[in-house]
Amino acid sequence: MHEVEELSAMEARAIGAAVGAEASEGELGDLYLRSAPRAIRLAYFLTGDRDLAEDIVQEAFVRVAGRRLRGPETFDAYLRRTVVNLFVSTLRRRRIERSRLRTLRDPGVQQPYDPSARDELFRALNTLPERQRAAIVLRFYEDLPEREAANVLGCSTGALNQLVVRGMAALRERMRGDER
Amino acid sequence: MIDLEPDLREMFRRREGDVRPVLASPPRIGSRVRWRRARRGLLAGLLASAVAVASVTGVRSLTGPRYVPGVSEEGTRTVELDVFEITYPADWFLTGVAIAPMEDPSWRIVLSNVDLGEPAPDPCSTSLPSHAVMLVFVIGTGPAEGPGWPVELAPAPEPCGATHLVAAWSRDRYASSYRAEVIAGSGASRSDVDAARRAFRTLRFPDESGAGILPYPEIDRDVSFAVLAGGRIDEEPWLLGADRSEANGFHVHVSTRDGGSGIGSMRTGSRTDVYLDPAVFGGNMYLWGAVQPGIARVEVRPEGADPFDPDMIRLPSFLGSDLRAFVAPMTGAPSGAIALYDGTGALVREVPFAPGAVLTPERDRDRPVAGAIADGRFFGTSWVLRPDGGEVLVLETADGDELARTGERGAELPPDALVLTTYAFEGDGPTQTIVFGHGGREVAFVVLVGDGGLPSTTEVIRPTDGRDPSFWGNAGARPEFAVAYDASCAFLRAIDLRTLEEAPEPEIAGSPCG
Repeated sequence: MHEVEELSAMEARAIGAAVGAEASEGELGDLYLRSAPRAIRLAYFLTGDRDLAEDIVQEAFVRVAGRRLRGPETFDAYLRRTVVNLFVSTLRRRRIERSRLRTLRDPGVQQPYDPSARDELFRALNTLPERQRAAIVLRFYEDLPEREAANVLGCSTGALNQLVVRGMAALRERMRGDER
Repeated sequence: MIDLEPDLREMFRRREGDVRPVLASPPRIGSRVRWRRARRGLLAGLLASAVAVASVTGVRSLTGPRYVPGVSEEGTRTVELDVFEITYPADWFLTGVAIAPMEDPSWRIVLSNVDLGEPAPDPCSTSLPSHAVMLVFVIGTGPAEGPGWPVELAPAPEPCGATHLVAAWSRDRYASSYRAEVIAGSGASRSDVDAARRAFRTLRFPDESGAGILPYPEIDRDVSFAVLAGGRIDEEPWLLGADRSEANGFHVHVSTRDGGSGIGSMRTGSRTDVYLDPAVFGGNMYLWGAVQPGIARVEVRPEGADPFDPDMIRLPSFLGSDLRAFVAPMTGAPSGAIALYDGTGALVREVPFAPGAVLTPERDRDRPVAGAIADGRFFGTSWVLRPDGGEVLVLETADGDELARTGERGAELPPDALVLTTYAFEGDGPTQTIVFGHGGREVAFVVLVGDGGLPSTTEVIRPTDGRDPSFWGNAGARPEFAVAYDASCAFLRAIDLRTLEEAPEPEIAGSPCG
């Protein structure tokens, strides 16, 4: 899993150049190549959709790189937060996961739960409400400490823990349902 | 109990490989970033020029505002929604409802030549005027079936009106199934039926127009909505919408891709004869609001441009209000005034506006409370916000009962300080949370953010005697952050309004200082 890494001096200079007012196309492109893969993986686990994940990360990158930052070291944190915000605020409205939920409920595609076949878990994760899903991905994929994950979601650590507990309970319920 | 955490972690590890490797940066990513930076710079420049307006009249003539009406010369509106873009006669009504929004998300959206009295009624099971013409859309999110767009309207097999045409199509998007019907009563005019058919043929879809989408309508709320107006400035779409829900009552708002701004709690017969929001997004102003029925005409007088009459809009009756809305999209972010006239043509009042300075509902402009920096009325309680001894702000009822106050301050605040207090008015409707306090001398803007992520600007009062500025605003039902910026819109600090503790800079949709 990811650890929160300190930037090397070279990385800090590269980010500083790319977020500077005079950044070239190449510097911005390099920053995208450096930052996007991790952000796309995060967005993928949030959305369950590779294309959508790439769209969200491109938009988040434009937003974060287009603003004044307090320092290069904050870029990744801003990008992560913006990805999560775009996911929660935009997709909550669109409810695109509803059609997937309907597919999941279709008896024709249900399979018994097999702990070794964890695609069921991936699909079940994508049926959770957005903030519960984001809380689980931030805690168990990004491995963020409680406080940092709460900051990303803009809530207290107590609220974060509630989101995780409820999300995990819902996942268990869905996996049990699939077992039956 | 299934212990899912190890399985989750293993699943995450294994499925990381699902993501395609990033081998090249996307086309235009650099230009998109630079455009966004330029737009922020433009806004900061406009704000700075507003501060120094007396010395830059020459510059003002170059950046002067321009009214971009939402109604075309042909008398049509073009509005872009989440689900489609459509052009239709400007005096028709466009309303919608979310159908079973939580379980089976879909909308019914109805364009009609008459006010139907309810939002987007089901036309075949509702008694409608004989001269009514409707273009009805039912849009769902289920599996895509049927032909793609474009399709033609054809006579319905089982018509429920004198004219009844249908078409269905699908798209490979989240709003995936579309059905349209033109239904007209026996007394409907040929020209109105033709207008509905023309509107159908104007349909475009967000990815085809290349314009992205506005977040409207929403389907995660049990909401009825009306599209009041829409258009574009510099290819950027905007929309003026109104909605009504059990939870939130009646609400009008302007939306752009850079953010939105809304006003709730608007009431016919209140002491406020105009609700006004000079919202700025993307460097352009969307001056909008609503007036009481006694106001027959509104004139906008922007500084640096000729006066004009904005688009006036009658609200559909299901919203339960006989206010009239208006909207005046303008390039730039001017200050100015609006003039209100009654039915005899007499000037009732002239109300100044400045970028982002919302004229708060229930504020009594005729009879301001002596010494108050703000006053209003929520849920039957009249309130006053006033300085107490110069260094403390007190919120109290009109009877003098204290509700809240800022703490004693002592010495001058640090330049980037933000000290604040909140007070929530609760009653029959969404909670209204007043946030007020003081900032250090560098604090030029204080923005309130709720869980919708949209900022609302506070009123900042800067004393002329060099004392620290005060600010106040209404954070609504679900406040999250108060964020302070300096005059160049650089972030200073954020306070979490739920804990009143320091917080990291929150992500804000659009320009925070607009």
